[in-house]
Amino acid sequence: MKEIYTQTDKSTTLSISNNQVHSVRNKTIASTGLRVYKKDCIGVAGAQGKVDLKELEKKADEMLKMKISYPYAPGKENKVKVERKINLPADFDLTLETNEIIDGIVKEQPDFILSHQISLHEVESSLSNEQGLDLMYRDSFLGIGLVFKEKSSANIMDGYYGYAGRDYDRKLFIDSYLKILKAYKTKVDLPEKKTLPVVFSCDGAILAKLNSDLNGLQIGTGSSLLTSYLGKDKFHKDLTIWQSNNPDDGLLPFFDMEGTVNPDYRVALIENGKILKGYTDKKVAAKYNLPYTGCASGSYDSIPKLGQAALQLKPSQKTLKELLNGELGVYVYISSGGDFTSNGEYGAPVQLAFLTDGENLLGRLPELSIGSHLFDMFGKDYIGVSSDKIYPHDFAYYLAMDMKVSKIY
Amino acid sequence: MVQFKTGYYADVRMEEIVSTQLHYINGEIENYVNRIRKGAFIRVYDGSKWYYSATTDLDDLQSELDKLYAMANCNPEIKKNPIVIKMPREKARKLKFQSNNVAKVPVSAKLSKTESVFHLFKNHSRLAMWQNYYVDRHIKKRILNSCGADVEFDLQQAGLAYYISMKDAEKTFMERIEASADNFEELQLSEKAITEFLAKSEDFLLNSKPLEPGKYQTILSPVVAGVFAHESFGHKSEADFMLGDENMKKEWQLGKKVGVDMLSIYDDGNLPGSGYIAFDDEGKAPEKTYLIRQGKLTGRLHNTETAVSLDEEPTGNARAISFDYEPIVRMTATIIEPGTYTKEELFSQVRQGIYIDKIKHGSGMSTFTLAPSFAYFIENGKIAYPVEISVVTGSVFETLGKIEALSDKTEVFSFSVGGCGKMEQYPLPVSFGGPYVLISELNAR
Repeated sequence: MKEIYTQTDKSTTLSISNNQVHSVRNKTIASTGLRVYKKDCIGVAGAQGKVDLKELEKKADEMLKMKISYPYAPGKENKVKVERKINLPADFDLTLETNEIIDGIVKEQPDFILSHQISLHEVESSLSNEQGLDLMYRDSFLGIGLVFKEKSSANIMDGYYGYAGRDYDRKLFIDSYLKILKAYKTKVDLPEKKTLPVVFSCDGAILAKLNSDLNGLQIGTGSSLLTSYLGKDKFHKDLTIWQSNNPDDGLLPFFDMEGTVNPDYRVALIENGKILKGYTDKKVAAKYNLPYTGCASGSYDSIPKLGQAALQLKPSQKTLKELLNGELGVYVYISSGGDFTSNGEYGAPVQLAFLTDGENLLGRLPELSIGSHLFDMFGKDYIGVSSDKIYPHDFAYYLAMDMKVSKIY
Repeated sequence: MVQFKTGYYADVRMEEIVSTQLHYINGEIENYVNRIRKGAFIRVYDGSKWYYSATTDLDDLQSELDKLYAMANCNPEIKKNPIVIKMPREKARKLKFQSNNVAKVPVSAKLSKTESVFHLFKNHSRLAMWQNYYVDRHIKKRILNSCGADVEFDLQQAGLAYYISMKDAEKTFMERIEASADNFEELQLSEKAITEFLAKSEDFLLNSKPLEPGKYQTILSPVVAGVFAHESFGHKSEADFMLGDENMKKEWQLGKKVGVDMLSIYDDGNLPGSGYIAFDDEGKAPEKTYLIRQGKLTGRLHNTETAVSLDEEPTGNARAISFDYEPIVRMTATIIEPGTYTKEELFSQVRQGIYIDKIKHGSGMSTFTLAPSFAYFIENGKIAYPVEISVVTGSVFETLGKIEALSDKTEVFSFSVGGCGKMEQYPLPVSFGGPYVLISELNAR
């Protein structure tokens, strides 16, 4: 049985240096992988650019000699096509748009230098086989990543604001950026409390430990902190986490690399605080007798294997302001280098944080140190996920929890 | 090959990357990838902007180049442009890895080398899971430019990495041991090294205690010191962040005191290991560049454009992770020079403190971070017991001034898997190293 995976990434990227367009890069990379399944084994071969499928099949057949076991049924009889598209006018010009964005920000805040890049992407991926599997995903989106630095600053960078999505609105983006810069220029002190509500973007590194410990391989082998809590109400009753390939949650294909399409493209891993299951591919689910969630990943020319799930937290009915309930929160904007220990203790420096009332950024806080434990962060100290998004047309919501906060210096 | 037009600067970087990856879980093979990638990155400069294209169609480079010419503006004075004047013009061929090319080693030998130590992991009572990777790559590059440069060279690396998860009741511990070499024959992880690693991991699992958060006198091992140099100061020495920023030029004037007198840090792409490059991705040979010498800012890392912008010389640090990307200013091998103390003398200076033996990762802005894996409490100059620390932090410049002692030997480390990340370009092979470094005070929690 033969199966073909294709992936095309087409992009135009403008790099920005010192408030000016420095370079323009065009890139089109087309990749093809061909898999053969025979006698419970798998062989894969891939190539980029122009592809000779017969040559790939020969190479994939050759790899079968390595007898890499794959006794799982490939996907079959499922034809799904999902197309999403960015909302740009037909005469959209990326260079003109970039200049408009930079001018719009710098005119209002001339004390800042902007750099990094703005890019327009078209992506397409497909997976099809001789058993009637025929999946195709096509998308386009704008990615804006603008680093800012105060002209008087001796740092390489002072902050960053980014957007990646399909619902682009220049005015909204510029207004959001200006709010950040305005808050950056207003220094405020940390409220004198040992524990404060701390607010994160719910797509960031704060989910890293949950992601690694919900991995089916970690759970199946007993290496996960969560193994012994499967089926138990370990976390806060308001916490629900999905493995999501839903195009409304991000910019990922709706199918995994083994061709699985989940209902609504989501699987609940934690529901109302109860740990239901870890995420798995076919092999891990079979080997460790775990529920199958369709979470295989891999490159175009590799054997599908369990990847990292795209975790999506279910938003609550409350805005961030309502979640904070009259308290001021610490919005963690840049936190680089923090980590969890194997046992779930969390510590991180916060290089840039803002004080927020849930609606407004009231000012820039000094550099901070935050710390807690995984089970407290998503358990007794969990406040919730907001119903409002950080950027109205972006994907991420706010995630709030109480934590110990102190000044580094 | 390609015809360059007058009125523009242009260069073409062609690459052939042959790589192997093997992945096992609990001794069972999961994946084998034998990949050949061929492609080119093309740049055109008109004196105002750069125009780039990445392509896998090596048969039609001319039309990709012509498309970029059509986007740029013809500049009859381009040859007088200061950036173009400083562009490399060398013609050379440095194919160092032809006789021992890893791509020509049969896969059976790679399997055999990887599996030869499996018996040490199998049936280990504390191991909940173990995974391992064998990776290698041979990269052949040719760079042509409109100033006449034509260089051809190769790069090579092979690596082995074994990841373990240990478990004792509710407690878990994850770590890895790895080795790297620039040829297959020298790639080795000895049984002794693995046995010691497993014993050390088990000791950490069973005996580690949480550290009371606070400020501690701290010793960094050579590998951790190397990451510290790379993250805390190396990235700040990459001159592209200074382009057009007059304030930064004043702040970062050469000769400025930035650390203690005993501190010297350099970058050198000529050193063997994963930071080695015969030429950078503009076709310039690498140089040994002191970033800090005796505590003073001495130099910085450049591509041609940043060197012209700061009225300095290119250093051979224009690098891209592959033909998909443009070269930007990156490190190669970044090393702290040794001091005068023996390792024992250095430890004897600590009454109560911590020793960071190995880390999971590090980062550096104005505040740097190190996330320790193996870390130990020191009492009266001796390692007392393992401690659990999630992160160690400090201000970069304050810390460079708080170095109290450096040991007398430098050790250099290469990545086996992974590498350095900068913006969208990850992973770039680099190496790093240093001696044991004693710092008077760092925050740990």
